[in-house]
Amino acid sequence: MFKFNTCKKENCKSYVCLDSPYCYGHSPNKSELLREMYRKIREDEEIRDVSFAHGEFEGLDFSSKVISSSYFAWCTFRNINFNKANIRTSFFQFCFFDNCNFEESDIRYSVFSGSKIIKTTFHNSMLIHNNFSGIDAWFVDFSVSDLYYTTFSSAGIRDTSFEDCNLKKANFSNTERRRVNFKYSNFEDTIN
Amino acid sequence: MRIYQHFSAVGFCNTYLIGKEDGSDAILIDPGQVDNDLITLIESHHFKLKTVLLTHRHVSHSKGVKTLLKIYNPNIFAFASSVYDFPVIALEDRMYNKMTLKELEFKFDCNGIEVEAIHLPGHCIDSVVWKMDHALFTGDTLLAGKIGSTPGYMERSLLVNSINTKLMSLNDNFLVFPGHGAPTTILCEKLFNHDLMNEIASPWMKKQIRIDRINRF
Repeated sequence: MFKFNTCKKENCKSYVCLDSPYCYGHSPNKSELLREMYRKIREDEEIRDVSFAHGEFEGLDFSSKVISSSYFAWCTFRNINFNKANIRTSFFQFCFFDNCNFEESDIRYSVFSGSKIIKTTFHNSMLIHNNFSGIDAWFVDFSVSDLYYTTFSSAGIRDTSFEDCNLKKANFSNTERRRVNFKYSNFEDTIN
Repeated sequence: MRIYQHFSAVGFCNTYLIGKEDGSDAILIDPGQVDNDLITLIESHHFKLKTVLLTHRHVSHSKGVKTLLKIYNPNIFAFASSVYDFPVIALEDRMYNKMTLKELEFKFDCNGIEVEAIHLPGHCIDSVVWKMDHALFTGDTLLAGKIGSTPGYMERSLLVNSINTKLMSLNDNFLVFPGHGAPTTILCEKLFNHDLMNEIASPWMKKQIRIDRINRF
C-alpha cells in the first residue's frame, strides 16, 4: 500500500507525494515531483504503492500498465489513455477525468467516488467491486462491461450508456439519471 | 503494509490478507471460504498466517476458519467467544470495564502492525471494526454508499450513532475496506452515504448543517 504519512505542513491531512515529506500541493518542488511521476509512468510497467494526490496529468499513456495500491485522489486526468490497464485497489476519488479512454481495462476494488467524469469510455471493461458513488458522469460509455457489485449511489449520470452490461448487485440508489441507456442490461438485478 | 483482497463466492464476502512485506507474518480478516485462490494468495507471497480477525459471527465471514486452523493453526480474534465452535481469543472482557460497562481502548500488536478493535454493534451485537494504520476493515457495519442491514429500527439507530461517533470522527482520508462490495473512504461516506445522511440524530450532519447555515449568512 502507499505510505500513510501525512503532509508535514501544519493542519494538512493529505498523504505525502512520492518520497517527499509534503503533499503535492504544499511541496516546494512541484515540477520535480511531476517530472519524477511522468518518468515512472513512461518507464515502469507497474505503478505500485504510489501516492500522488492533487496532480495534473495530460496526454499520458497508461495503456496496458498495472496500477496497484496507489493513491491519486483530487487529480486531473485530461486526454489520458488507460486502454487495457489493470487497476487494483487504487484510489481516484474526487478526480477530474476529461476525454479519457479506459477501453478493455480491468479495474477492481478501486474508488472513483466524487469524481467528475466527462467524455470518457469504459467500453468492454471488467469493472468489478468499484466505487463510483457521488460521481458526476457526462457522456460516459460503460457499455459491454461487467459492473458486478459496483456502486453508483448518489451519483449524477447524464447522457451515459450502460448497454449490454452485467449489473448484478450494482447499486444505483439515490442516483439522478437523465438520458441513461440500459438497453440489453439486467437492470432488474441492480439495487435502486 | 500490503493489503490483498480475495472474493469468496460463498456469501459474496471480501476476505483481506494483510502483511508487512512478502515472507512476513500475515493477518487474514473474515475468511468466508478457503479455496485454492486464497491459499495461492497466501503462499505466492510466502506469508506465514499467524492471525485471523473476525468482524462478526455470520457464517459467510467465518466459515473458512476451521480449514485454516488445520493448515496454519492461527490465533483467532473475535469480540465474543461463545458464538463460535472453535477456539477464539475473545475481546468482550478486554473492551469493557465489567463494573462500569465503560468501553476501553483495545489495541494489540499483530506481527508488527498495530491493530485496534472498535466495537460497533448494530448489524450484529458482536460487530467489530479492525483499524490498522489508516485502513479500517468494517465487515458489515459500513459499506460503500450504505450501512449494514439491521434486524430492527433500534439496532439501526445504534449502528448509525456508533458509526457517527466512532468512525466519522476519524481522519477523512482513512480507507474503508468493507466485508462486501467496493472499498471507500471516510470522506466519501460522509458525503455520499444516504443511510448516514438521512439519520436526523447524526452529530456530524448536525454540525455540517450548522456550518452550512453560518456560511450562507
